[in-house]
Amino acid sequence: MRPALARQMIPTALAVAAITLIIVMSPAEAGSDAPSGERTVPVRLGTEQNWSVRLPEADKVVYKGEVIQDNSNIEAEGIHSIDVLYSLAFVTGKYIKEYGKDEELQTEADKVLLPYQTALGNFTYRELVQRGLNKTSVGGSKKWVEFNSPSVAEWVVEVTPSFTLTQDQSAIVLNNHIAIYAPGAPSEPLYKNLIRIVSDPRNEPDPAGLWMRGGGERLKEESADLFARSLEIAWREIGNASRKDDPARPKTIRYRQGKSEKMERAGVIDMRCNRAVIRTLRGWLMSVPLAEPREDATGNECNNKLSQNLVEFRGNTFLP
Amino acid sequence: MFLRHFSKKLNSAFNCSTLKIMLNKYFIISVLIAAALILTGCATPQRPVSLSESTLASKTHRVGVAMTPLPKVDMQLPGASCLLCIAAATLANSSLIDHTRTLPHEDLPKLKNSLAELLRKKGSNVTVISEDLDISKLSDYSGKGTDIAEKDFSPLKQKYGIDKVVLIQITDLGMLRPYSTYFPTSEPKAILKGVGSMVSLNNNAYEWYMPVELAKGSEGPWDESPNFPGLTNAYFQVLEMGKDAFLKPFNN
Repeated sequence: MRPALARQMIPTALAVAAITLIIVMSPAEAGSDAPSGERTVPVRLGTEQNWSVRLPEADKVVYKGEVIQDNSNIEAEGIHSIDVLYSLAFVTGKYIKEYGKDEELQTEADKVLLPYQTALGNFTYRELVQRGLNKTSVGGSKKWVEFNSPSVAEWVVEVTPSFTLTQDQSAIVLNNHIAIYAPGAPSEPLYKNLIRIVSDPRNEPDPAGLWMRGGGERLKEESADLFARSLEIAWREIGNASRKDDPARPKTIRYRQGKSEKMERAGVIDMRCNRAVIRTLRGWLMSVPLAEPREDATGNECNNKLSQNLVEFRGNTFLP
Repeated sequence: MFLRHFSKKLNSAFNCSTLKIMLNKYFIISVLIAAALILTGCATPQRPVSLSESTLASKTHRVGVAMTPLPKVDMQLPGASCLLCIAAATLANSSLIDHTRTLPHEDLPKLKNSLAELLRKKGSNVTVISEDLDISKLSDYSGKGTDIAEKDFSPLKQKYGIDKVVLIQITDLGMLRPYSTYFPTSEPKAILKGVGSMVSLNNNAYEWYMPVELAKGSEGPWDESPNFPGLTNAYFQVLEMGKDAFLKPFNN
């Protein structure tokens, strides 16, 4: 009875296995993070050209706590079994157990933001974008427009910024999904990418006290600095030649994210003042503080935080 | 009639006793196999041995730094045990397997030079052994005891004029995706596994023994064929983390 039952069940189990494999192995969507806009002609914005930033749909600026990943958990052995049904039950159970775990980890990580609730509760994207635009010197006049306002006959930058506070509270990370539309072409972005900026780490004994100084003013200003820097990097990117001509060969860059060291395989676009602008293997752009101080990172140009990484094109492209 | 019946009974009894003997035989063989498996399986793995300050204190000792041949960068699918499972898992991951095999060792072969530099800063008299050290070609060490290396490293003493050898042995490099028969139990991860050790060539004893096992998954989606940028990034991160792990004890 038992062998006969097993013989009947094997084809069923194999069919289920095949379907599961197809589902599990189906390629993931690259999603909205994929860079686009292969340009052949550089686009340079003169001081006479105006541009607008389209606000995100949400009202309040998104802040999250940094989720620390555990690298020590290796499932190196697999589950050695000859029983297909046991394996299927095991895998199903494992997926059910792990479902929702990411949300749990994020909820736990977000507890680091508790001291900042009063400042972040009323921090809107309008305020963030206006502060950021005040710090940006690209092109002519610039303003923000509402998310669903009709298209305008000038350059439009769609932004979706979100911030992450490191668990040691010494640095802020901006992830800004940017899409730039040329005048008269509101449907297809000329350039689209994710730009990540990691702030310089602050060595403060009381980081919450630092960020909350002036009713959270320091936190808002730092966030606006990062936002402005991301806009300038995006404009610089479309001001350069096509990415196809990018000579940067990937290498592993070590940088600081808060007090911990991170690594990213990327091509170096610019490196100065102990910071680097890099292009990741996915094509994203990152501006990061280098882990090892550079010998040439001295002088007045490095004292102006916002101008770090941006000095090069202030002189010849955007600010003639 | 009686004789025929007796004969049948005898035959039956004979068959039964033969069966019993055979069963006993199989039982004994099974027990022996199980015992052999248990005994070999329970061989005590080498425990980690911390590097103490006194180990490197002697400036008169000559220290050789060597690496074993680096493994081929490849993908492992543990748990896909049956032939059909292996075929299904290999087919399902073929693109990632092909990509993994294109990944370089990068500057991993220079790790022994970095380690030698750190030892020199501590005042040690260091020789970098330029060729790869194939420890499988060394004979087994006759002596047994706690923290004694299984292989006999003593021939290196005369060959390289050293008193101790620091050995970096990287055994696994690439990607790993665990399976249970046909089913992946986890997303693929970049891995580096190996052992760092220091053996005294006077008594073949470990003065440092540190297993390293690192794994790193992709940030964001992993299945981005054909270049797998997330996993490729994780692979290079694991390379750096591995180098840091081997150098850290000598950095303090």
